[in-house]
Amino acid sequence: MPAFLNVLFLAGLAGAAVPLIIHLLDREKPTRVEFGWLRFVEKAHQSQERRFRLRELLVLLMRMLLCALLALAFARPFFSGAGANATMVQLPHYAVVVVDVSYSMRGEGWWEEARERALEIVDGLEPGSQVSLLTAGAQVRTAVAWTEDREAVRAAVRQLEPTFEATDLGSAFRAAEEMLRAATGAGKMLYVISDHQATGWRRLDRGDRAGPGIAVHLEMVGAGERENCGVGEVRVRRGTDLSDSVAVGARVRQFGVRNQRDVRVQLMVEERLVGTRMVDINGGGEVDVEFAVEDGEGVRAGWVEVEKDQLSVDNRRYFVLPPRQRFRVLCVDGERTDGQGASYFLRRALNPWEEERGAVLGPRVIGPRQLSAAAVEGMDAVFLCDAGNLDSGAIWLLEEFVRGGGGLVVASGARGRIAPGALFSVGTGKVRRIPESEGFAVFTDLDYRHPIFAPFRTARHGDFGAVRIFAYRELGEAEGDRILMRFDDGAPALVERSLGMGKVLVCATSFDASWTDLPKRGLFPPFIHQALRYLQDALGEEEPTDFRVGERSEPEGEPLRQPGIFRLPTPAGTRPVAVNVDGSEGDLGAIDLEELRERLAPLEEAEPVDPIREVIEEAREVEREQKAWWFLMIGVLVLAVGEMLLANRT
Amino acid sequence: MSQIAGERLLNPDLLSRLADMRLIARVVVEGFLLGLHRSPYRGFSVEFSQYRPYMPGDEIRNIDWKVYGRTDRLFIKEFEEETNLFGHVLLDASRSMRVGGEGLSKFDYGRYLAAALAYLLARQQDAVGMVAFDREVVEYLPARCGQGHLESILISLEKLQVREVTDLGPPLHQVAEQIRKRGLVLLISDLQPREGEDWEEQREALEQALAHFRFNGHELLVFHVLDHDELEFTFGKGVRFVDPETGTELVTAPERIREGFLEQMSNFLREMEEVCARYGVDYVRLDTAQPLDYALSAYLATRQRMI
Repeated sequence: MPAFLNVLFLAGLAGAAVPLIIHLLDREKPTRVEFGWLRFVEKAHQSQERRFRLRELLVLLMRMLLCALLALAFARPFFSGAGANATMVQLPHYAVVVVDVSYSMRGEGWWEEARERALEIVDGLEPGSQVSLLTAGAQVRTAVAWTEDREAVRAAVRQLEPTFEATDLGSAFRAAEEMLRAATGAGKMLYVISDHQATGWRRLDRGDRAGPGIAVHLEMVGAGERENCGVGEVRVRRGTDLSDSVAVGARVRQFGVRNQRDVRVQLMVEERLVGTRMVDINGGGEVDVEFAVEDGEGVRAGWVEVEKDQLSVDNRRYFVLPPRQRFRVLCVDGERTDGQGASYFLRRALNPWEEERGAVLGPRVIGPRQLSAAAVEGMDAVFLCDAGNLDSGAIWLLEEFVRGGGGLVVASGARGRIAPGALFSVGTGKVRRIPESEGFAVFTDLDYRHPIFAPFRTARHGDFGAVRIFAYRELGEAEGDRILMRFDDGAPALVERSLGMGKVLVCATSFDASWTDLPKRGLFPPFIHQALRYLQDALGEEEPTDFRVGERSEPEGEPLRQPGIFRLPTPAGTRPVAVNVDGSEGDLGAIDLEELRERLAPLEEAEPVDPIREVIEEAREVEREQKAWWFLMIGVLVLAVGEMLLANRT
Repeated sequence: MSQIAGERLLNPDLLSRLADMRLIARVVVEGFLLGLHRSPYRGFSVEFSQYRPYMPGDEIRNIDWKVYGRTDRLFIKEFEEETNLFGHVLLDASRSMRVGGEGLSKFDYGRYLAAALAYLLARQQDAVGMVAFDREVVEYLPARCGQGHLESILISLEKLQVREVTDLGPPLHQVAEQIRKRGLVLLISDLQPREGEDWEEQREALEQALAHFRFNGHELLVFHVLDHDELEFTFGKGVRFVDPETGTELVTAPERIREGFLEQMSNFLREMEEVCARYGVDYVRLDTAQPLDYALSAYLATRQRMI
């Protein structure tokens, strides 16, 4: 049973009646003529008329058949297998509608406008068009795959809601363009319905543009004034490891041209107002606001917010305050008997107040002989300051302490060397005193990639090269040890060794002023606290507390869909996490659409590229399968010639 | 009244055309010069031809003294001597002659031709008679000389109308019997056989009639008058043909049957020529679209041969 590609042309079959109608209308009323030779007329009539009638009937039938065949040829019949490719021959229109679902679309009235525009586009497509609906947030999602069912697309559009994600229109454009490039259609259209923020298109690569035959339509919603003030980011920072407060810094941005005066910025912690600031922000500018929050026990959450404006989603930014960190430190001082001792500077670096303030409790100071299991019990770190030769029991005790996750820092001194072992792979060697002729040694080759030295990497953040060293113990280098710092003669100055769950740091020089001026320098306390924090960090990674919308809190977990403070389950209960929107999305500044259209438009010289050839080849292939119309047209031609010859024959 | 009617029939234009062609003058002069000795029909009628200066040896009795009285010069009056030819014009007045397209009908054409021939015969001092017939003789004026008789013929032609169907045999036999004096018979007819009857019989009757005339010593000239459409058959798409004699109708598309019709008409005409030739009859086919001088020329050629 044949089917037809252009069924409407079958109406042309009625045209077969046209020759018959013309024939009937053309029959004239005979003229009356007096004529005497009817004898001859009748004889000629009898011999000729039958032949003429037959010819006339034949011509009439040929004309009718010609019209009918012509209509059939235009209707493009095909049989069985060819039908599967019918849509390709018709080369339907393809349209991908990309709808921006980022949170910037939550501007007042914008989303309704976008939805209406999407429905209008779907309604206005050519009948039989293949439509696909994509949403553009932080990720590109396919809401509706290729379909002709417009009602399904309309329903999907109505169900769309804006997310709290940022826009990535560049990725969405690439995805839609690839879909259209793979399609074989007469017309390919790519619609992007968005507020077209410049930031939304920032991931558009230089080479991104529409393929041949793809028409890009950029639909703008939210035309008009775009003023938005938002909290871009919040930083939680302790002033120093020695302080008792936490600094909460917020960066308030004004994404617009207007200057904003007396913008109220509030800090809320555990839903209580902690502080308020009034700031002035110039158009397109930003202001940093800092609040001091008293340190406290336990994890606390809060937010910084500005007053409500055109886009309220980014007006609030959540954060989690980490609990106060307190380390219990044991100092084993080899010179405990004298007034200052080898740990004098170290103790003041750890806790200058000698009371329970700051990050370090204590420290507790003992002599080498007092080193016992009870002494190290509950300690986070142990500092050996020129503790001399430790007996095997003490060595074993410290080794177990480190293996259990404790941190051990060894500062060398004149009292004795440390024998090599599991704890100290190569031990400490003999003392090298710098000759007076040489003056002093200095630290070189600092491993600034190491967390301990990372804060000192930039200029004016502590210059270890200025430290003078007059004597140090030689340290060997063993496999698995990491040299964090050397003396200028190349000898290791600070070596790190991992053991079990803990770490050991061995410094070749002392922490008192006998061999070096390091303890007297301002970088000494932060260096000590960095070392202490590093040793504690080694106990385990901190759980992340700050997420962006769309990120997963667990590798296998569900993405976080909206901003706020959420509590995630932990083995010990729950812990709060802050989920925030991408602050850059608050910049509502629109991209220059004309410029963007030019940039995305297909290259004119790109016509002979492969996709077109592919379309032609496909069309040819289909044509081969559906060439019944060719035979019909040949029939039409034969009939036309036959009719011409027969009709003009006298 | 009759004078006027005769003048209308003998169209002055037609006569002037004959004069312009100088055909009559040449034929008459040759007849005058040669007919005296050659014509078996020596007669008494004399017609003035021209004046010429007197030459020594000319007979005195031929001098025109009246001219001498006016001009004081001697002129000889010359005459053309004509035969006393008896000519009969036979005109077919059957209904088939009524046929005619946009121009003259065959009957009118035949009447004009008959009138012209009669006039020409009379002008040449020949005796002229006229017969009109259809299925029988409807008008018979025996051959006589004189202007008055010519006028009678013309009036008779003026009044003549078609009435009955064709039947060539009986009236022609009748006329052949009535014309006792040998002479020239001019038959004007479409020679159309009667519709619905056997053509062979009618042709035989025609042949017998022609033979009859010839047997009686007449010279016969047949003017076969046909309408232009009958010779060319140039009709439109659909035509309802009506036989003027029987009223029989036939609807057909002439363009389709033209070829067949012309073929049969051609056969018929060839047959007529053969019949005429078989009996020594001059045959002239006339198209009503042709001028009459063609027919007169044919007549004069025939007459020339006779004298």
